Amino acid sequence: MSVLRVTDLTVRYAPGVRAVQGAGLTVAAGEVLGVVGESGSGKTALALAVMGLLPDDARVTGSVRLRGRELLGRSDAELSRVRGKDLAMVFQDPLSALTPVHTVGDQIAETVRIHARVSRAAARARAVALLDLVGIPGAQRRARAYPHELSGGMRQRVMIAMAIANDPAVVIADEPTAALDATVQAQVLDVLRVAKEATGAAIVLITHDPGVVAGFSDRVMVMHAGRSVESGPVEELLRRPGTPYTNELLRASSPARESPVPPSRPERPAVLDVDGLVRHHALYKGPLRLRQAGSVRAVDGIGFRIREGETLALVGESGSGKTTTLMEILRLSRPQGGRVALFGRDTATLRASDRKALRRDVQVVFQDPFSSLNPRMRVADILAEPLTAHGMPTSRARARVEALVELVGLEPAHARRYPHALSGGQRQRVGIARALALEPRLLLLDEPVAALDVIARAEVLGLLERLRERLGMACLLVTHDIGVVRRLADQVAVMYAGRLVEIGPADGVCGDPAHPYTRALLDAVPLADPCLEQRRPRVFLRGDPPDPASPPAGCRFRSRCPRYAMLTAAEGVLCEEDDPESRPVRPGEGAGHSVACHHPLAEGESAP
Amino acid sequence: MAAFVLRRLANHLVLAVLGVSLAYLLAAAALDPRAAYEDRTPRPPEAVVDARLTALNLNDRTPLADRYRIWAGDVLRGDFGRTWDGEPVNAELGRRLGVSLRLVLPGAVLGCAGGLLLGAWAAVRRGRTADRLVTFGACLLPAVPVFVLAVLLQMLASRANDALGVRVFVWVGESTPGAPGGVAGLADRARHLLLPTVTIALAQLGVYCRYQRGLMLDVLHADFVRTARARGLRRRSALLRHGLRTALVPMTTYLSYASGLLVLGAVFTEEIFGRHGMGEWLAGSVARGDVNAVAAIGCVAVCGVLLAGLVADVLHGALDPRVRGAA
Repeated sequence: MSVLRVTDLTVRYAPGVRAVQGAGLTVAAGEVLGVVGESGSGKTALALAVMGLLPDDARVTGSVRLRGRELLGRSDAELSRVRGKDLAMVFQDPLSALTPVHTVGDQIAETVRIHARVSRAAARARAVALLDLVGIPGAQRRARAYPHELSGGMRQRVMIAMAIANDPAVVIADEPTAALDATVQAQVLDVLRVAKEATGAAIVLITHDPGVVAGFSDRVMVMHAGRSVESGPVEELLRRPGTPYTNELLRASSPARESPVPPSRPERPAVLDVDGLVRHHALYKGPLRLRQAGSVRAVDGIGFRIREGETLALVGESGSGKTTTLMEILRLSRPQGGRVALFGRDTATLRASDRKALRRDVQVVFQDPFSSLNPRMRVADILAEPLTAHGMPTSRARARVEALVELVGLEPAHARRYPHALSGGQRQRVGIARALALEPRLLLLDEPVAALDVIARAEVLGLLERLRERLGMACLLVTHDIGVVRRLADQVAVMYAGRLVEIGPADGVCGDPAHPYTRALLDAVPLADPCLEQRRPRVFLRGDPPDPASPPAGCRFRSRCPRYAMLTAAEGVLCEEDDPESRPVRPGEGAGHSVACHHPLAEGESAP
Repeated sequence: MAAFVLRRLANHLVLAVLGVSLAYLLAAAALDPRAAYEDRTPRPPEAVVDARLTALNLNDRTPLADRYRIWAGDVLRGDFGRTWDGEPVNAELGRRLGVSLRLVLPGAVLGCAGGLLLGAWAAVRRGRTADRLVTFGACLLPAVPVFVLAVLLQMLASRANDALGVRVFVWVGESTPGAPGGVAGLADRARHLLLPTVTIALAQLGVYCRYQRGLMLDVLHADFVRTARARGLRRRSALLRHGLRTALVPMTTYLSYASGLLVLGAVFTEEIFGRHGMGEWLAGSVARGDVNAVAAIGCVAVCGVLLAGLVADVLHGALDPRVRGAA
C-alpha cells in the first residue's frame, strides 16, 4: 500500500523552462526510495512540488496523492495542516535551514505545537525527547542552544528531529548529507535510519551520490533532465543499470585512478617544505576582553615535504586545520612557529618584492566556485587579471586567455560569459584556469570538487589529473573526500585536531592504514555497490572532534578512538598520558609511512 | 549581556570625552564672541569687553589650553558655563532639550514603526500593486525637502480649517497661550503636535521603508523560512515569526544612529512650527559666536550618538544570539 504516489508531475517556471517533466514515484509505508541524479536534474523541484513549497511563479501539473488524498491545487492554509504533520522534509544545508535567532528546542517545540494542542512545557519535553532520539548528547542542555552553537552534523540531527516530531507518514530528505564530512554523513544516515524505525515513516532520500543510496534505500529512481530515467530495487538497479545514464552516474561515483602512482623519487628537489608549522588563534575573555584565556590550536606543529611533480593530499574532517595550513603557506611570511620553505627559500626571510615574485609560482584553487569568482567580471577578464597584475601586456594576455580556456576544456564562447551563466563544473574550470594562468610550480587545491555533483566532480578530477601530467607541477590537495585522494594523490597526510596522525605514500595509507582515524575515514566513504556496502564491516566514529581550544591530554583522538575503547586500562594509560609521536610504521623499510599512534593497526588488520 | 554592555560603555566613555573635547576646542578656536560685543552701539570700551569675556571664559586672548582647562573643570562638576549674554547654559539646555524631545519623539517613533511595517509588507507583496504604491511613496517622500513638506501640510490644514469652519488644526507653538491645565491642556498640546509629528514621521518613513523592504526581500526566500513552512506554518506566520526578526537585525544600527542625531536635525521643523528647540539654538549660537552654548550642544550630540550606538548594540544582541558571545 503506497502512502505517497506522484504521477505525471510537471513543474514549469518561466514559459518553456521545465524543471520536472512527467516524473512519477510511489513509496510504501516504511520503505526508503532513493532519488538519484546530477544537479539540475529536477530532484529538488520534485521534492518542493510535493511539499507545495515552490515559488509562486512555478506552475505544477499532474498529481500528488498522500494516502489517497490529492495535494496539488490546495491552498496554503490546507497544505500547512499536512506539512510538518503527515509530510515532513529535511533540507540540504543545515547551516541556513534553521532560524538563527531561535533556540533549536523552541523550533522543535513550535513544530509540535503547530499541529497539536499541547502545553508549552509538554512540547518542550517532547523536543528534548526527540533530540535524545536523534543522538544529541545532553539533550536537555542542547535544547537551549542556538543553531550557530552546534556543529553541522548536530544541526542536521536537529532537522531530522523536527521532521519526525509529529510522526509523519512520509519524510522527504533533500541531500541531507551533502554539506557534511564523510564521517558525519555516516552518522546522520544512521540517525535517519533510527528515525525511520521509530516512526515507521516512508523516506524519500534525494541525493547526487549513488553511494549514499546504496546502503540505505530499498528502491532507487534515477532522474535526468526532469524525467525519471529508470527505477527499481536497489541491488538490481545499481548492479545492472538499464540505461547508459545510470551507468555513467555509477562510474563517476567510484573514481578510478587513470594514471599509475609514480614511485616516490627522493632525488627530486623539494618544492614545499613545511616543518613544525604552528598557527594558534588567541581567545580573549573577561568583561573588557583583555585577559587571554588560552588559544584555538588550529594548526599545532605539522611537517611534510612535497617534491617536484608530486601531489600530497592533506585529509581530515572539517575543523582539523587543513585550510588553515594552506592559508599559512599562501601567506608567504614568517609563521607563528616552525618553518615554511618554498623552492628552497625560507618564507621568513622574504622581502615584499620577493614575495610578489614568488606568488607567480604558488597559485590556489578555492573550494566554492560560486563565491570565488567575481560576479561582475567576464570569464576572460577573470583569467586575464593575474596576467596583467604580473605585468603582461594586454595583447599577449588575450592570446594566453584563449589558450587557457582551451586548456581546461571550455568553449571559446564561455570566455565572454559572466560566472552566473556557467554551471558549477564550468566555474571550477575557470578557477583552475585562473590558477594556471601564471604557470605555477606549486598548485594549492582547497577542496576543489567538494561543491560539485558526482558527474561534474569526475570531470574536474579527470581534468586535474591530465593537467598535472601535462604541466608537471606539484600539488598540495586539501580534501575531506577519500575518493579524491585515491584519484589524485601520491602522498597522503591525515590531519586530526591540528596534528598529522599519519603520513605516507597514497597506496600505503589508503590500502593499509595504521591509524584508527584513517581507517574510520576510509570506512565512512559510501560505496555505490549495495552488496559490498551492506556486508562490509564498518567502524563509525562517534561524536565530534574535540574543542580545538582545549584538546584532551595525551592522544587527541582518544575521545573518539574505537581502538582505545577496546583497550584494557593498563594499555590505555599510554593514550591518556602520552601525546603520541610520529614514527615509522615498518621500521627499517623507510618508505616514509609513519603514524602517530601508541597502538597502530597491524598490516592487513581492517577492524580494530 | 551585562559584561557586553559594560565593555561597550567603557569604550564609549573614552570616545565621549574625546568627542566633547574636540567639539569645545573647535568651537573655541573658530567662533568669535568678541565680534558680537564690538558690534554693539555704542561700542563698549575694550577693557570692559575683555573683562566681560574673561568672566564668561570666552576671551580669545586667554590661551586656548587655559580656557579648555577651566571649561573642562566646570563640565566635570556638571556646569556648562554661561551663554554670551550671561545666562546659565544648563537651564537653557534643559528647556530646549525638552522642547525638542517633545516635538521629535512621537514623529520619530511613528515614522520608524510605520516605515518598518510598510517596508516589510511591501516586500511580502512584491511586484503587486500595493508594493508599487508603497515603493513609489517611499521614493517620493525622501525627495521632498522637509520645509516643503511642512508648508504643504500647513496649507492643506488651513484649507481643511476653512472648509470645516472650525479651527481643527493648530500648529504654531507648543500650546495656545493661556490654555487651561489638566486634561484640556494636554489635548491642546496634542492638537498642536499633530502637524509637526506627521511632518517628521513622513520625512523618516520613506528611508526606513526602503531599507526594510530590501532586507525583507533577502529573508523572503531564506532557507529557514522555507523550513518553517515545511513544518506547517502558513506563509504569513512563517514570515512574521522567523523572517521579520532576522530582517530587523541589520536595521538596528541605522535606526539607532538616525534617532541619535534627530534631536539636532529638526531645525526646519522647529522654525516652521514656531518651536524653540535645540536645532534653532545651535544655528543661533553659531551665528552669535556663543562658544559655551555650541560646546554644550556638541556634548548633547556626542552623547546622543554614542548612546544610540549603545542602544544599537544592545538591540542587536537582543535580536541576534550570534553576536552576544562574539562581540
